[in-house]
Amino acid sequence: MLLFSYLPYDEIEWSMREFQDSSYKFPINYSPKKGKEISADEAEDDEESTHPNIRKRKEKVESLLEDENKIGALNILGEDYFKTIQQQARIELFYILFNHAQYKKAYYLSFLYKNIYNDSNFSSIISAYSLYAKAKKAQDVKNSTENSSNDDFKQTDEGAYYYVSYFFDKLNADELSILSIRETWKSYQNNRNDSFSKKLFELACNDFFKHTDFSLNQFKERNDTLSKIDTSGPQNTKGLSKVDKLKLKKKKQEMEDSEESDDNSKNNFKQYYQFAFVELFKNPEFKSQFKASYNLYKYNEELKENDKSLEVFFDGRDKRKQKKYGNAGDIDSLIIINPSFSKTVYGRETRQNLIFNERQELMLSNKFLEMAQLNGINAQSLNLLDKSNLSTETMNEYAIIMEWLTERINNSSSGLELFNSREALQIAENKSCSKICISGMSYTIENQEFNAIAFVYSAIAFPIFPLYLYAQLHKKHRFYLSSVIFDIESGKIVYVTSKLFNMKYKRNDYVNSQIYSLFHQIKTKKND
Amino acid sequence: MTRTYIISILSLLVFFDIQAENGKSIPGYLGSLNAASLKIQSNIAISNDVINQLLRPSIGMSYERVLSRRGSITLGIGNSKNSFNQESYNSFTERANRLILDNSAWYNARIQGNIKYSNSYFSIAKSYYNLASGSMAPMGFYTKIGYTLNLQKIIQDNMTYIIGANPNGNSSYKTQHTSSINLEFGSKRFISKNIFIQKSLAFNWPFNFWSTSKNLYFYNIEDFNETHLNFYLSKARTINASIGIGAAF
Repeated sequence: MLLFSYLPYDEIEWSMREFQDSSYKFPINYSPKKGKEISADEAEDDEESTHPNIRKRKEKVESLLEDENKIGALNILGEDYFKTIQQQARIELFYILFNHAQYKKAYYLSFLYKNIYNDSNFSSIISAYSLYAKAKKAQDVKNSTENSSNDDFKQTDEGAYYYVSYFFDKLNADELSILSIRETWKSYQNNRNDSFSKKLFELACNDFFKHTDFSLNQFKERNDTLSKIDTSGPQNTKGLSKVDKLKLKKKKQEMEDSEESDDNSKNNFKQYYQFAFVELFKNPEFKSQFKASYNLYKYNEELKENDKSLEVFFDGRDKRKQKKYGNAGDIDSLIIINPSFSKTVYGRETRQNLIFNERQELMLSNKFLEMAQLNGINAQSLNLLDKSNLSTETMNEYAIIMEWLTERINNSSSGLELFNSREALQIAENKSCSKICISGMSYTIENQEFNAIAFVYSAIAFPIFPLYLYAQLHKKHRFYLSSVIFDIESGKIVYVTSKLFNMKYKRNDYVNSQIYSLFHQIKTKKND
Repeated sequence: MTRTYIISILSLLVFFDIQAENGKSIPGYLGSLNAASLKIQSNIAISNDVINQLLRPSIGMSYERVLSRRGSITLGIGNSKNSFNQESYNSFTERANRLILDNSAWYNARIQGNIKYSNSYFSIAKSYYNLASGSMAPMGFYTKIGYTLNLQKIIQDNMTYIIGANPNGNSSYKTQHTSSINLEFGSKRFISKNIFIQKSLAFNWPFNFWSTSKNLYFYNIEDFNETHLNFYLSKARTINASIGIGAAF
């Protein structure tokens, strides 16, 4: 098990037919000509390793298990119970993968889950979400200079998963967007009563026109052309004339050639996806939603065209005004997560007093809440540090919010509907508040850097030398106060601030004032 | 547990410019936008009268209204009663000021005794708090630029002149006024939610240094003494320090 832990938990052959239908086929080169064998060697040389190789460990465990068998301690809870826990762990794995934006792997695991547990409903939601999020990410990368970092094609992908990885690596943002619509629709069809599935489908449609250059009429409603060719596997040529067979063969050859030739022919070749929705258009609900999304996109484009006033420019005057009057958050209620605090003294040795930090965190938790309430904000704390009042409910809520936060942070796309949003929204509903405030304070003390020029000048103008000495020996105190407010409903950051002050943390009035000011700005109404 | 996320979030902030939205957030100190204080203010006179000036401070009060996160306006009033003696004339007469009473001779200010005076001031000033140091109106370090109107009047003339008597025992002194611009550096430290202690050091630049007469020769005692008083106080007030206690509300 350890040997193959870098691979998915099972090995079931996957092909891109999973995504195809009678009209929508992928080019053959989207599947590797040759698979990649699993390279893990359980008897690898462990001479220079800190741990024994897998074979040795396996042998040791087997011998232990034999001993356990003798005393009858194996499978104490029964195999069924083990299987149940295993299934739960596998479901939990989806959450972990989504939290870390590992959509490709999550998709393959949904494929495994469907086959192992014969569950097409839940697995289709996972599959749909994987495609939806992967498309969303690709759309964002396409529209920015940012690089995708955590879900790339890896040469280490092996076995059946290699086919999935290879296939996804071939898809561009447009192709992924199409796939996301198809998969979210499939999920919606499998889970008609699930609002999340429906929402995913609608979002996939809306994002499709917003982030791609496609228009409605680029997608065919009927399969009426020869250019639609199943190139993904053996062709069913029964009933075709000899001429048609030759044409088909020639076309296939052209496609393979064009893949390795110039870009233009490649683009033309990729027109295969004009048949993506032929089968789906047969369903009036799909057609209606697809058209509605297109119309919504056109309407928003017109609005954007007419409303140029939304453009905001920041000049010196704005910055001065901001300094004078701060920011305006226009937020009335908040869930405040206990703030973090760290004090670091830099010197020959960097020192941190963790007990002091934790004590401050507890004190600040109460202070944040008090200052927020003093500002008239309906503030509720989610404080894990207050051990005397810690309940299981608080712990669970905290865990869900942190899960949501992890997923949110690992997804730079603010428009992405998060997988954890349903659970997090439930908390927001219970607390009648959807904004969560995460704050942190960082206090550093460090020596001044030696300034040779100042030293020389002050030595020449010796009366000011004591001033130089004072400035040089004076420690630098820096205090950062940062806060981010997320809206769980929209998944967006609605307020962010990070300020640096040259002040000592020991001054209570300063700390009070800054925390009060933070919430005052958060509460301040925006001007129209 | 939170710290891990905080670090990630803080790293996110690098990519975000502060979302500047129009609004008007003036928090004051925990919501208090007004501050009233009582203070004692001593002049640090650059003369041999320094002890006298230090030990007999003026008592004043001020009202401050916060206008923005970094700015406030302050109105102040104060009063002091003090005296000066013949020693204080030295620097005045060194500037060749002469008192001539009989139109034929001048007195070399051979005088003894003291003169008591009353000094009131009214000031208006704009404060700028140092946001970078974590200060915010009305708390923390500030720099204040202001205007002060001083009203001073000799209330008792106990001076004996060289001719052996007060030749002008019935002198009636008028209220004089001088004004100055001030630059003040100070800080306010809150010791509770409302109570604060403030301290400051101020520099004053007088406008009408010789307000009564620009001549060097004075033909009556009132003019001579009043001009001296203006000269004396303007010098004494050049640098002053204050300490006070107040409440924000």
